[in-house]
Amino acid sequence: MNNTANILRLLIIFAIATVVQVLILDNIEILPLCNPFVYLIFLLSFPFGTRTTTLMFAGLVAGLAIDISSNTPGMHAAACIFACYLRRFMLTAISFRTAYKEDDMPSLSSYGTVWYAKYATMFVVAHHIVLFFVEQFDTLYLLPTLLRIVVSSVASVLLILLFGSLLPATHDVGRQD
Amino acid sequence: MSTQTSVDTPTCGVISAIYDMHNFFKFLLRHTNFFVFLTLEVFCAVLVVNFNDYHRSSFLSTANLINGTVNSITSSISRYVNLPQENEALAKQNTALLQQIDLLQRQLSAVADSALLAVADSTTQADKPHFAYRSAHVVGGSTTRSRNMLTVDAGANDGIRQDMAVISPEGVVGLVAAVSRHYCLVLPIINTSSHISVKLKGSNHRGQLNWDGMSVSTAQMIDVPEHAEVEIGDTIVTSGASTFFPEGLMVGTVNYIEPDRNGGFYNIGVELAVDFNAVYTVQMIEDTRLTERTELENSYQ
Repeated sequence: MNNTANILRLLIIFAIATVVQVLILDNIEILPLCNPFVYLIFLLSFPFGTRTTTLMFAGLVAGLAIDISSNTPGMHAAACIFACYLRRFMLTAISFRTAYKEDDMPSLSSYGTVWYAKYATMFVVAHHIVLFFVEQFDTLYLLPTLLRIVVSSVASVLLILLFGSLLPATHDVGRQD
Repeated sequence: MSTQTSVDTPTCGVISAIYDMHNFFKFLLRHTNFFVFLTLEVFCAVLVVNFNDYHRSSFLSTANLINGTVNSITSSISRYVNLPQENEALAKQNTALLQQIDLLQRQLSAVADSALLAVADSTTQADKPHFAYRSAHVVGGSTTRSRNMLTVDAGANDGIRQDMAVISPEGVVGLVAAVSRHYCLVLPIINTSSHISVKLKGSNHRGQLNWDGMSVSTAQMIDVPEHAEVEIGDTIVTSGASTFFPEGLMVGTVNYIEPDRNGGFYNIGVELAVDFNAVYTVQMIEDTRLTERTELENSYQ
């Protein structure tokens, strides 16, 4: 897939994910303590070979976009940057026997649900740990925060899997686990 | 690795300095990712700390006009869906107010014969009422986080200032935290940084109302001494101890009582009177005597 198609796909994912997050998910309560964040699928979809620096700046932009509409300057940005910093290590941890193709973008249809679920879970948990602890920084109620992290991570991963399964495939690699 | 020979010429010193700088930059470049990460996180930390320290800044917030307009549109859709409940709440409040007007009129006519009325008239007419009320609507915000904020469509243009009290027909909502030209941000009870001074309506014992983030309908009242008589179902109202809220505004009802681990006090669970998932019409309360009171309190040091 060529560069422009990649960028277009990323921009569309960013637009849809941010709109869904801000206008729909932030306004409904599924469960108490459940705060799903589906905009992370934008950061998950960057090509495998993206430099971590570029990824972190993208995380900053995505995080600030959510921060602006939720009155939390810097919190989502900090969490996204942290998760992006670790993305390379996460991808190495669940890599296939053959190396990733640098230009390919992770997608559920191309790489399999199990692989995508592992990838999404690691990213989401890293992001949520930072986000909820920073949110609770000075009035620290430990148990509600940990519960919130767990419940929200499960919800976020499920929604990302749902969203990801709706996206078109990027590469016919076939399922590898 | 720079092994220094002890030759004391300036040139050697300069060369080794340049070599060390070169090594330093090579080190930075080898670990670019980490340093970019650190820099960006420090930037975010600055944003977060600024927000928490003053925690009233409207920079990057929904009080911005663009976000405010988008929120107005989405909220007018959801408000339409909720009109029946809103109407019912307003009707109840109307009834209560009409009853109060009726009572006051009867009291007034009882005093009408008194000769004092002539004197009272001239002084009370010059006085503005103690509290001014302005109605507005909640156009956005969250109720599912541990730190929730509400966006209300009244701003500096409507005379709203920071720290004004906000109530709904059901009870206390919160305090104004930030103001922009057409909107303001309200810090509601359902925010872990909210600490309102409240009291038991019957016995006037005071305590502090906190929120632990677990449930939108329950808050916690602490620092109530154990000798206070409390029962499930008792009413909790604002205490009037702070300059922010008039005294006696409805906050909630007691739904559990447990002794505090440190002894001597009760922790009381308060079922909040306001349903934060359905709050739309609010009243902003302005204390017209606030400047007079703070000037007086500051003048006597």
